Amino acid sequence: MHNFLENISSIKSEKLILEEEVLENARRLEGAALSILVKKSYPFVFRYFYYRSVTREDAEDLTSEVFVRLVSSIKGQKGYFPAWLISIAKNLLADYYRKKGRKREVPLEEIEEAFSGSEKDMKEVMSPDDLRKMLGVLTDEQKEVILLRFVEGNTNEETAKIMNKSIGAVKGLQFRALVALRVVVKNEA
Amino acid sequence: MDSRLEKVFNTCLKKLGEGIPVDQALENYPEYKEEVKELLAIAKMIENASLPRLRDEAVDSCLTRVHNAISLQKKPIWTAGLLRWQWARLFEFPSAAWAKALALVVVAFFVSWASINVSADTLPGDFFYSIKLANEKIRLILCTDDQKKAELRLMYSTVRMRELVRCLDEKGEFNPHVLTAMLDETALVTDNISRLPKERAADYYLKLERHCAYQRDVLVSLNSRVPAYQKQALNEAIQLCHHRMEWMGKVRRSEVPMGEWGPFVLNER
Repeated sequence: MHNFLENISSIKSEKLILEEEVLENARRLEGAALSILVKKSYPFVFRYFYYRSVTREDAEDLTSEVFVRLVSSIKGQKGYFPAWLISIAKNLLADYYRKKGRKREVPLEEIEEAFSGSEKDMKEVMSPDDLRKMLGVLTDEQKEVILLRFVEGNTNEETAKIMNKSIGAVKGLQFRALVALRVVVKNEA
Repeated sequence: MDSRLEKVFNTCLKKLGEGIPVDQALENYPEYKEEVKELLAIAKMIENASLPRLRDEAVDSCLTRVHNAISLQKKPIWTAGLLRWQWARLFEFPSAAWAKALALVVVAFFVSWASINVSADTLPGDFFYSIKLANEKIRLILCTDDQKKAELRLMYSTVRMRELVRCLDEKGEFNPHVLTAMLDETALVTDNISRLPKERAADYYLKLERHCAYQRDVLVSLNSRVPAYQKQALNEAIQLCHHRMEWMGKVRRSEVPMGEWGPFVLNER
């Protein structure tokens, strides 16, 4: 029995939480508020690109571009901020894939390499690169749910808001994603 | 895919989030215990994965770009060197859709204004002549005052007469349709003045009398230039204008009952 299964926490230190006052001041283009917003949101946006098979350099460039675009449109921002931020990132990612041609696909050998030993060494920490490779077997939506739920630490409700889906749909995607990952892990074992 | 397994998994995940140990969460579902644990293990593995390292230089570079963007946003428009996608800032619209809608209105207004101006001097058969007629109709429809409508109709009748003369001068054509339109517009003036109060209507009796006299004289002057096969139509029009002129004289002198318009009624011509 794996004790580490206990206490799966939905509140992680990486979770993007922004105070309403910071957002209000950022909408007025106050430099200090925008700096805070950028510093808090940067990891969230960077990881969005990083785990989608984008090179590190491109992920950094795209992340910067997200915040530059944020400056020009934050005045009119309404609703759930992480969802709005992700929508900017999604548009940029679509443009990026269009320019680069096909999405970079992770070869099966790399995926298997990421999984090798994972069955035995569940307690060992998986590297971000291995996680990125492992998520290569999933569809875009499944990947997004897994990242939002287990990497970013969002609840089902928050994930549903960001993805603009129902909570039921999020749960379904989450379950199917984990089943798909389990198949690969078992095959490898 | 087992939907029952999915339900059990979601229930267990929820209980774990509430702090309930996994074995306790699964005690009611022994047949799914192993499968759910496998899925939970994968979830935990992902949750525990280390996060990608952020480079300080990349974050600093991003902050610099953001502050430059803020400066650009705050600059006066004429010095900002607007980027293509900032053009909507010029009017501070809530969205680009508003700016596009205004641009469309401005373009439509300009095109309409240009068309109306270009069509002002056109003759029957010219490309913009229909726009000229449409513009006249629109002005009439939009005009709600009978007196102003009467003035407009008098003006249009005069315009038709000028078109008739110009067609003959410039194209060598005598256009019977324009002639009919000219006479009809004059007739329709009586519809409007009949709705005016007596004192104001009286002003138009003399105006109409003089208008018909003028039309008669102009048509007489065209007689020598109109082809022989069209002279009958011209002579009939001259007689009608003369008859109308006399009738208006009688109306002015109250020699005919009020509301009797004789030769101005269209179906009595």
